[in-house]
Amino acid sequence: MRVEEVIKAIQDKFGLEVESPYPRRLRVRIPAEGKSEEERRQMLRDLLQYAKEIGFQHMSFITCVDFIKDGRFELNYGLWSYTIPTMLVVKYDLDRENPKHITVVDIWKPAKTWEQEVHEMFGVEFDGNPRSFEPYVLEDWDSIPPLRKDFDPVQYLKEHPMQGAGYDPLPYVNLVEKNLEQPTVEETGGDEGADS
Amino acid sequence: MPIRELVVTYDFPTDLHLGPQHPGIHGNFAYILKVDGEKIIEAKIVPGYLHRAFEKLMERRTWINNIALIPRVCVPEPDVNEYAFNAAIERIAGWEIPPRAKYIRTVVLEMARISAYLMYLASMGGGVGVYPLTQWAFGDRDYILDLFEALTGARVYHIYMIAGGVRRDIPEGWLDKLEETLKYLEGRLKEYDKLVMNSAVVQRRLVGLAPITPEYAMEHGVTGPNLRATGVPYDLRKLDPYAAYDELDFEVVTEKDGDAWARFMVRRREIDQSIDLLRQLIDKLRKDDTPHIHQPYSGLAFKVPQGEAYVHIESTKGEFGYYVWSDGGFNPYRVFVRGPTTSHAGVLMEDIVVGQELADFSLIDGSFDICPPDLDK
Amino acid sequence: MIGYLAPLRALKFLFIKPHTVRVPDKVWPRWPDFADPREGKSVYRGTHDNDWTKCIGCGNCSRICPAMAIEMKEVPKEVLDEIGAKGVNKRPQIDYGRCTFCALCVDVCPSGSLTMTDNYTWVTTDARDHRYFFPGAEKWKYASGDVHTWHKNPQSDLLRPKPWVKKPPQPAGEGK
Repeated sequence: MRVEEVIKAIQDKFGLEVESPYPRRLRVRIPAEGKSEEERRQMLRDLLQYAKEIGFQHMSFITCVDFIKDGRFELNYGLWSYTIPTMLVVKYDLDRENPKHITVVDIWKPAKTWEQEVHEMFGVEFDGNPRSFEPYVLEDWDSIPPLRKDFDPVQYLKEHPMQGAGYDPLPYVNLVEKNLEQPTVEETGGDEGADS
Repeated sequence: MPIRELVVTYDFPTDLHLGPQHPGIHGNFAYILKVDGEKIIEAKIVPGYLHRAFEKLMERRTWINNIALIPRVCVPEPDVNEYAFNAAIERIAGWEIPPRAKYIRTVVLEMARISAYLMYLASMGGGVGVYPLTQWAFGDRDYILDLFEALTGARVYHIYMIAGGVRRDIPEGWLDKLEETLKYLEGRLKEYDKLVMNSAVVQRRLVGLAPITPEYAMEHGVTGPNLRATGVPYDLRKLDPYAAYDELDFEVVTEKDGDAWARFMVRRREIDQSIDLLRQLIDKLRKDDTPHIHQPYSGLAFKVPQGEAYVHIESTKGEFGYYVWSDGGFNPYRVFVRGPTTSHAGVLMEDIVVGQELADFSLIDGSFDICPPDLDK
Repeated sequence: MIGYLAPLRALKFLFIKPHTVRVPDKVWPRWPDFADPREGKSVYRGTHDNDWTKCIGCGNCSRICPAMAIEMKEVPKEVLDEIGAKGVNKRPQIDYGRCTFCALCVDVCPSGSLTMTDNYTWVTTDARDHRYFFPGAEKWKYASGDVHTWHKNPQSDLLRPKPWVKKPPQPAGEGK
C-alpha cells in the first residue's frame, strides 16, 4: 500500500481528513463534534484496528498533551509501518475534567505500558486495562498527576521538603522562579541584533 | 535457638525480587519474578529508580537550555537525544541544515553507536563469563570517548548538537585521528571474534536462547537490532532517512534466528557497518566546505513557531523518538520522549522470560539491551 | 576451532603493554598543585576561568545557565579599580554542585572573558566549597594556570547569528 492509498482508504472508510505535514508523517484527528462519546471511542478503536490490518505493524507510542486553555487532553497514538513506510498519528480529544477513556491493549500489546504511563502522568483512566491503574515510575504520589499543566513543581517542592540529601533545594526555588520569567526581546538580542 | 527455626522453607511458587542492585540487571531497574524452583512463571517490571522528570523539566526550560538536559535521558548513547530533539526543532521551524552539519552529526551518531555497542559486548561478555571481552570492550570504548573529547569537549554527555547544526567545526587533524582509531578498532574486533566465536561456552549459552519471530517482535513493540535479529531488514536509517543517511551507502544487517546469539551477532556486525559508514563520512567531510551551523537566531533564547513534530531515529536500543509541541514561545509546550525500553522491558521481557530458567534471566535481559533510563525518563 | 579452550588464546595479551595511563606516584599527597594525570584535549570543558579585567559583569552567563548554577556576586569597587576592570562590579560565582559543564555560559559571554580550562580534577577539604567557585578571584588563582581549552570563538559564538543560505544548484562542478 502506498501513502496516497492509505489517505484515501481512511477518508473513504471513516470520512476523516488525513493531513501529511512532513514526508512520511500522517495525522488524523477523531472529530470532537457531532458524535457521542461512545461512537467516538468506537471510531478510534475501529481506526486503530483498520490501521493494523493495512500494514501499520508497530505501535510506537501513546502519549498525551494537556491543552489547559482549551480544557482538553489530546491523546496521540503513534503507529509506524515498516512496509509503507510512514508514521500515522491518531489524535483523540478528551474532556479535561473527566478524563475517562477506553483501552486499546487488546489490539496493541505495547499499549499496556504506554497507557500506564499516561494514567500516571495525566490521570487519564483507561477502562479495561487493569495494569494502567497500577503505579508506574512514581512512588506514593500524593498530588495531582505531574505532567498536567496546573501542577506546579516549585509549590510541590515547598510542601515536600527534600529529606536526607544533605542539600536543601529551597534556596534555589527563588532562583528557579526568576529563571522561569520569559526573557524579553532586548535580552535575547532581538531578531537581528548582533551584539558581541 | 534450635537450628530448625533458622532454616527457611519456601513454598513454591515464590516471589523473587531481582534488582535494582544486581549485577545482571543493567541499570537501576528491578523485576519481580514468580519462580517455581528454577523456572520463571511470571515477571513484572518495577521501574522508577531513575525517574528524573525530564519531560516536566523540559517544559520549564528554554529551547537552548534543554540541550544540556536531554543527553541524560539515555546514558550509554546520549547523542540520539541531542539529534532527535534538535531535529524536531528544525522541522517545526522549517530550517534547512547545511550538509556539513549533517555529516558531523552523522559522524557523532555513528561513533555513539560504536561506543554503545562496545558497551553491549562488554555486558554480554560479563553475562556469559568471558571477562576479557568485558575489559577489552570497555578499554576500546575509551578511544572513542577520546575522540569525542577532542571533538566536543566532553567524554560522555557531549552537549554538542544545537538547533541548526553543531556548536563547533571539526578541529584540525581530527579526521586523521578518527581514521587511525577506526583502523585500530578493526584490528581489535578480529581479536574479539576469535575470543567469542570460537568459544563453546558462549555458543552453548546463547544459541537458541529466547528466540523470537518477526511477527512476535512487531506485536510486542520490538524495534532496532532486536527486530533485525529476526531476519527482517527494518532500519529507520534506511526507511526514514535522517541526518545524512540518505547519502550513504549501506546494507541493513540482519540475522535469521532471532535468538540471543543472533542479537549478539547483529550488534557485532553493525559495528563493522558503522566503521564503514564513518569512512564514507570522512571522505564527504573532506570535500565539503559549507558551514557547520545554520543559526538564524541570536542571543540567550529564541522562539520556535507554533507546531509539532515527531522525529524518531535508530538508536542501538531501538526506535528513539522525540515528539515536540511548540506554542510559539521560548520554551517547549510539551516534549515526549519515546524510549525503546518501555516496550522492550514492559511488554517483551514480561512475556519472553516466562518458562525460562532463572540462570538465563540476566542473559536474556542483557541480550535485548534493556536500558532503563529512557523508560524512567 | 570451536572449543572450551579456545578463549585461552587471550592469554597472549598478558604480555602486551596495557592501554591505561599510569597515574604518577607523586600525584596524590599534595593539593592544590596535584599535577595533571592526563591532559585534557584541546577543546576540553573543565573548570571555569574568568579574566576579571575583561569581564563586564553583564550577567549573560547567569541568565543562560540551564542548571541555574551561576549567580552574579558583587565585588568591591576598589578591587576592580586596582586591576583596571570595566563595567558593573559583579562577577559570576559558579556552584559546581549544579554545573553541567555545557559551556553555554562561555558561548554567550560578550567580552570573551569566561573560558573553560583543561583542569578536571578538584580536591577540597570543605564539602561546601563546590557552591562558591569564583573563577578569576584570588582564592582560585591556581585555576588560571590551566590551559584555556574551550573558549569563545567566532564559530561557537551564540550572540552572532550565522544564517546559512543554500546556494542554488550550479550547472556543473559545484555540488553533487
